[in-house]
Amino acid sequence: MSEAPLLEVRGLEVRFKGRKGALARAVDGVDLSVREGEVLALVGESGCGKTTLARTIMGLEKPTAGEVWFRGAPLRYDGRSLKAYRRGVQMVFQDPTGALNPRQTIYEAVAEGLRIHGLSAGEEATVAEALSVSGLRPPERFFGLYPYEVSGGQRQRVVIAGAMALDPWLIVADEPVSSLDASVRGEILALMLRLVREKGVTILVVTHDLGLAWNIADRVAVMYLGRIVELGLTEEMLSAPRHPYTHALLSVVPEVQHVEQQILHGEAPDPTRIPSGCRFHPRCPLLQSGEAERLGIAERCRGEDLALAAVDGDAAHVAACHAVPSQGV
Amino acid sequence: MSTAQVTVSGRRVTWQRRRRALAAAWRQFRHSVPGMIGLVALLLIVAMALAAPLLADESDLRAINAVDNPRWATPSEFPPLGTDNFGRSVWAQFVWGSRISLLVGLAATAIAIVVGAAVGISAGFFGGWFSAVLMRITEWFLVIPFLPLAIVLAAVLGPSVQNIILVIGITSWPVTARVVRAQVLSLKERLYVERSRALGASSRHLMSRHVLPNVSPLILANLTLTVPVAILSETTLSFLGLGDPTRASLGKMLEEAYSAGAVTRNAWWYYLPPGLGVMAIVLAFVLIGQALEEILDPRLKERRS
Amino acid sequence: MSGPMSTEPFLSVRDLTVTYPGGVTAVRGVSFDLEHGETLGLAGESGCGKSTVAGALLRLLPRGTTVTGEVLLDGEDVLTMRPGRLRAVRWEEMSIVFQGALHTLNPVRRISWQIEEAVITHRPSTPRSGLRTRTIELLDVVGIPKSRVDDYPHQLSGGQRQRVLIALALACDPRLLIADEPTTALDVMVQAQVLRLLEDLQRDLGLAMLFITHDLSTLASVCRRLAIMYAGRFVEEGPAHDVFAAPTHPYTVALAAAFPVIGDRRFRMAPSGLGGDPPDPRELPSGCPFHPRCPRATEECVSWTPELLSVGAGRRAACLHPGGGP
Repeated sequence: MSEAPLLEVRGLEVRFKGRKGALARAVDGVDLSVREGEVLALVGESGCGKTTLARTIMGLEKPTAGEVWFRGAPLRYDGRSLKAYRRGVQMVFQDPTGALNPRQTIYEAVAEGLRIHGLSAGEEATVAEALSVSGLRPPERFFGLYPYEVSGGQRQRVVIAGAMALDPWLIVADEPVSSLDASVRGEILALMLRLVREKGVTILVVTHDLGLAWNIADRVAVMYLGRIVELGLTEEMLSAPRHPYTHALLSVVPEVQHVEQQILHGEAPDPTRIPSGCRFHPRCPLLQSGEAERLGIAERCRGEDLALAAVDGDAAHVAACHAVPSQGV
Repeated sequence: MSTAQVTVSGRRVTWQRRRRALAAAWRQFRHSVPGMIGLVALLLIVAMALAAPLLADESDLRAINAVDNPRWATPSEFPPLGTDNFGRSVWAQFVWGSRISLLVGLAATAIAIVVGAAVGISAGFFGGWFSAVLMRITEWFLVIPFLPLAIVLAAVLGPSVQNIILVIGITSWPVTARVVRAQVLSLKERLYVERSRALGASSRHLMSRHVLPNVSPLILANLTLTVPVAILSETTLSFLGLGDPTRASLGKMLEEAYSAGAVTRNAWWYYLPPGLGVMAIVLAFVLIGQALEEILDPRLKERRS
Repeated sequence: MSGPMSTEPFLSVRDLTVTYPGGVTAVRGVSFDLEHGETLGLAGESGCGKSTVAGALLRLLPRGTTVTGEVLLDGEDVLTMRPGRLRAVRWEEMSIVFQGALHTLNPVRRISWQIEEAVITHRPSTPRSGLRTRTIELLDVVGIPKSRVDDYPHQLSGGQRQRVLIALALACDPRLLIADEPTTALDVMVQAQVLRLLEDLQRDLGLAMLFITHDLSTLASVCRRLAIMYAGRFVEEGPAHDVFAAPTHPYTVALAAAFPVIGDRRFRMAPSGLGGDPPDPRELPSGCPFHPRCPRATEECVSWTPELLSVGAGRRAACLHPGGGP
């Protein structure tokens, strides 16, 4: 890749002190780059660290180690740098109802970013433009309404309009449709796709839903226990996943037929106790079925940690699994 | 998109909605019988206090000017409210005393609310050691018994109206601080505060645009409940002889009536007016406060009905 | 209690209409039958009345709600039952699993206590010793190991709590289990586990099941029959697989398309949704209530309210312009 990525995450680690003093390694060494104009889906179960990663990218969480680079410069955490950064990077939340102040009208909610950044010139025209770009037309009809007076899907559009008002480079969307009704879901996803195509926005979408990735993402990154375990182009990866975890996640999506369900046992694992070796090994179907034994890698699975490596020499598709024959990148 | 010519002004629409919401709250208040009784009573009392110079001559308060008046005159002998042991008009004392009592109550409440809200908001919003220190100070004020502290402070500072206001003010802010802090703690976890932060908002913006508007109903309700406490405190302190000796207040009237032996002489016209006056002011504020609380927090209404 | 070889269905709901105290009619004439051991899926957006149907079956609706129609359980009308009989029917004949297990379990009691309480309440004669065995057995059925039976709810994960709720619902060997969004708040993998558990239980215990969710795709794999609700009415019903694979009502089409088939190129970079918002039950549109959002709507749809009519083998739809289908 010759062109520099829009956003780059290098060796990012975020640790929290949990209850009883246990150290939770929520994000445990993530390298990720987001290219300009793409939609990248970050997929995983709850507790895998995907939301923490998104918040760290927004600068809402300070990394314990590692850096976030945006447009060729590292993010610094003083007030002025953060404020400047947050003009270019916007966030969309899972729960649009909670994300809007019940005492603000829709107009104020959308204008808030403009006011924070002192862009009050032409404020009303910008707000109207952002609302109509987000599918709330005619915008004037929505100016004086309070969030509780519009539907859930429209509230999410208001949040998106608030982000679009600042004309951002990147939107980080954390489960943008999971609290919405099925029929509204597609509409919001279509809107996001339209923003990418027509407004040139880049989107990093965090989700547990592989179907969403198939709907809108150019690339998919699967995260497990604080690390990315597989990353590649959506079509390649979802039609031929290489990591057993991706495979299992894909098999339980009800819409995927002709794939035998591979239900992993146990809950999402605990970031305060990350297993040795490959972090997925205690739940790995390859180990449980004896397949790993047959391949002669069982020992390495249990004892040897590993990084992402190119699959079949294809630098665009990387996975972290001992069973995937790897060639150095 | 032809959005250049926006026909409706967003700011104006927003203001219209605000005004309409305020009007709706007022309509609701008007339908609350206790609230309206309290409001009318309070307006009458305030009008009387403001009009004191028109209702009675301030010089009537001095004993030197009352030597020609009969002592212990009943209301029928010396209308409208009779005289005290020096022959001073009880009516004049009552009118001017209400003025001082209200002034002390409101000013002390203003101090308590401003300090309490500032401490509560900053302790709740910032957290960490800063909050810990502020809250320890708050608790310190909260656990010290009010009367001894007030007596000591009044004695050290000297008896004057300003000092009474100060004493009551600095002893009644901790309750407000705690209530406000609890609310702020829950507010700052709201997603819309996080959204605003992600939009680039500074702490000042978050506090003035999101936290303050959402705690202000609570502060308002707290205000109406702090005023009666402050007025009662003023009465107590004056009754104990810690008030300003040169200014009449309802508490001071009670104290003087008591020490002059009004009770044993059965001179009801001397001790009843200040007693009922304090009660009326306190009750008016409590009634207004409860009505406001119900409007601002609709959940309360359901629980009571 | 069931009469031997009765010809009537196990559960028969006839023209069920529910109006809430505020005057909102949430369910407007719903009829369906459920045989022993059969699963029926009920799908629709929030506010379509699907949870109200569940509440009406168990008479768990707020005071002042008007319920008309019939809910016949083995020929006996639940809606007119006396309170004593109703208590016996709830839990012993039909029980319910809600979503949001954290709020349904008592946080200060061990899960074993909560299950024992459910058993004792309905079967006071159960001996003490038998009670413990029964509790362990019930939790074992839902996959909670013996070592965890004396845990408190907060010590369990979300999936385990949902399992405890299922065990609670099974405590009195009901013949009908109503599952109201049982997997909505759960993670994908845990959701698959709970769905698998419900499928197994349904098969092994011969339970009849009413499965309510907004996620059409989960129903297609769990249920034999499927009904789609919109604005308080069924708009389409039929065998689950057929309805999901070849929907005929435009609303079902939109609902099915909302969940893409991964690997299907038609959905790739083409999320599809439904414009507009669910109707306000206070002001339903005239004619077919779906017409303002419907891509096939014609002028007749504005004035004509369609009834459920046959659109193929075992399938019915309430649409003037049904399409696709078998």
